Parts: sequence; C-alpha cells; structure tokens
Amino acid sequence: MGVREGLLALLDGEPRHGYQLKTAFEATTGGVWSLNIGQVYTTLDRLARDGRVEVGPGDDAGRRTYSITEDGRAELARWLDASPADAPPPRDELLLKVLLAVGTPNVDAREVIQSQRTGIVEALQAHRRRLRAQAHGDNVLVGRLVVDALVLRLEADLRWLDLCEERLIAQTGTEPTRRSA
Amino acid sequence: MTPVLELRVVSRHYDDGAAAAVVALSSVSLSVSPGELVAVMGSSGSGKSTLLQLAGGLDRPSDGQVLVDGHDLADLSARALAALRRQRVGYVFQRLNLLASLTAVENVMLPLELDGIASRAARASAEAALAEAGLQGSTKRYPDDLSGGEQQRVAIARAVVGERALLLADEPTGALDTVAGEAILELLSARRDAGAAVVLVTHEPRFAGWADRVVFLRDGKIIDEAHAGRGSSTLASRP
Repeated sequence: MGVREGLLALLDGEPRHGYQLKTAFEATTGGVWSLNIGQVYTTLDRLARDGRVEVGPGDDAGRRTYSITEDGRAELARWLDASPADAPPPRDELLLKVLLAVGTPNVDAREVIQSQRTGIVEALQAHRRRLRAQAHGDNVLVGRLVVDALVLRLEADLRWLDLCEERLIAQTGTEPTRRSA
Repeated sequence: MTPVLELRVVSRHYDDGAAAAVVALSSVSLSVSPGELVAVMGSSGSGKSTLLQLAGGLDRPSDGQVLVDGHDLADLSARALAALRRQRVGYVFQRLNLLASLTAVENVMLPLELDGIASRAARASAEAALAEAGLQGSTKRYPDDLSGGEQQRVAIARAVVGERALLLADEPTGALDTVAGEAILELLSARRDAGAAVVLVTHEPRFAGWADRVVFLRDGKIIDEAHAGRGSSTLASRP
C-alpha cells in the first residue's frame, strides 16, 4: 500500500535506479517509512510487468535505471486523486487493551487507561525531542509535517482515553468523592 | 542542585463551614530543578491550578511545606513573600491581565518599576524581554492593537523580565492556534534552557510533550509521571 505509487511519484521527477529510489522514498517520508531494497525491486518488477515503468540498460556497476511511462503517470494521477483506502483497521491494540480491561474482572480499567495515557505522552515527548534535534538539518519541513501527523493521532488516542474514563465513571459511579469527612 | 520549587507533602483543603471539607490537593510532593520544564495535566477539578497557586505563594497549604529557592514560604514575612513573588517568580495566566492603557513595553516594565528599578534600566530590560519574545517592533503598541498570540507573548515577557528563577504558566496557550501556541512554548523552553524552572499547567497533550516531565493529577493526587527519553518516537506500531 503506497509503496508502488510512491515509487511512481519519485520516477515522475526523474529516472532513477533502485537504490536511489529507496533513499529518496525514505527522505521524502521523513524517515518514518523505511523500505528494504528487495521490496523496491519486487515493486519495480511488477510496475515493469504492468507497463508503468521502463527499464533501461545497466550501467558499468550493473545498475539499471527505471523511468515512468504514460500509463504510469495515469495510475499516479488516479491514486493522488482517490481517497486513501487504508482506513485504520478496527484491530487497534490500544482499543483492544482498553476493551479487555473494561470487560475483565479484577483489572482496574482506570489504571490501564492511565498507563496508556502516560505512554502516549512519553511518545509525544519523544517526537518533540526528535523535532528539536532536526531543527537545523535538511528536510525540516518534512520532519515537522510527519511529526504533526503523528502528534495529532496520539492526541486523538488521548482524547479517546479521556472519554473512556469519563464514560466509565458515569457508568460505574466510581468517581472518588472530592469531599471527605 | 537545590530545587527552585519544592512541594513537600502538600495538602490544601477548603473548609466551607459544613461537616465536610473540599480536598483540592492531597499529600503532593514535587520538586522542580533549574533548567527543568514540568507540565501538569489532569481533568478539571484535579488540583492543577491549586498546585500552581501554592507554588507561587498566592495561596497557603493546609498541610506540608512549599519551598521556593530553598525558602519555606510559611517562614517568610508578608513583605519578604511579596518581594520573592515579584523578583523570583513569573506568572503567566490564561487571562493575561495586561493593562490596556499601557503600551507593551510599559506593561513589561511595570513589575520592575514596582520593585524600585530606575525607569531607564527597567525600559532596557523590558525591551530585551520583548525582543526575546519576537516583539521588538511592537514595543510601543497597546494590547488592543496586538493579536492574541502577541498579547500572550507580551504577558510572557512581563513574566520573565528581571531574571526570574521560577516561571508558572496556567494554560498559557489557552485560546491560541497551534502555531501561536508553539511560539509560547518556544519562549518557555528558551527560559528553561537559560536555567529557569518552569511549571506549565496544560490540558493540551501536544504542549505537554515539550516538557521534560509530565505530572498527572487526579482528585488532588499525583497518580503518574511521564519522562522525556522513555518514549519511542518511531511510528506507533499498530497491527
């Protein structure tokens, strides 16, 4: 999902060989999406089979250059236009943990919710540090956009955890009273 | 290193005359060192603002001790406490309390002048603080002529002017959009890097992520802490 079209997009810029495609893909995605070289060549073979790329002759080092065809450009344009097909699967590990915690006797669901919350905040802290470390390097914008996307997803998870806790309290009435004798 | 702020088993309850007292904070211990940014998170009513009020000497604990710069606030005379609050502690609140009749630089000068610092020196310090906040071109403008983000940066300049060791910020990014909020966090982080201890109360996780440590409050108690350096910044592993 996405790798095929990602390679097409990179080839739309200029013809490249396999290893150049791997490094360009990783730079474009801010380092969050690494490819192994085998996956790159498998995908290129399929693209060549489907007429989306053309394979040039090898150079002295035996590296072959790939270039995009008109059919490849058409596929890329269709893909950029279409809505993503990869809606997150409902088999989300966080969701599963909380549902199991709520449904399992002897497990304190609020404790589970809090430990997940702490873990997510620590992930946010790690993103912040990473962004700070990259602040003066190349691809500052790409790094920032990638971290923005990750941060917003984590925030959505946190908001969901907050809501879980509120609903749990409303359901079970376990809110400890703020008034004590 | 002596912590700039130390809460030792601090509780705060409000006896409203009825049989039961409202417990706002219960046996909280927290220490914040120079060069440390600590965020406090929790739902409303969890005790976040009470903690900040106690830390700044704006309220007194029912039990326990609050130390700023190693001084137990309970041991200070009213005069000494007021001086400590003016000289060592900076406050940034969601309500900015900028004076509309004063320009940006005059607002920032105000705490220095209250401290008896000569007007010329106060102005120089205030202009430097505004420049650090990126407002060097707006020193003579009035609050009403500034955007929300700019007003908040004036409020922060006023909070940091004069070498404060402890900065207390209560939802300083309140009504701001993400980019304006990030500018506020950049400023607070810069003060932290310069050696200040910063306590940030926020309900926004993205800004809590800037902190070295995040303290979670629930029902007046600290229930957990998140530490920078423990989390993974790789793409969350989802099936």
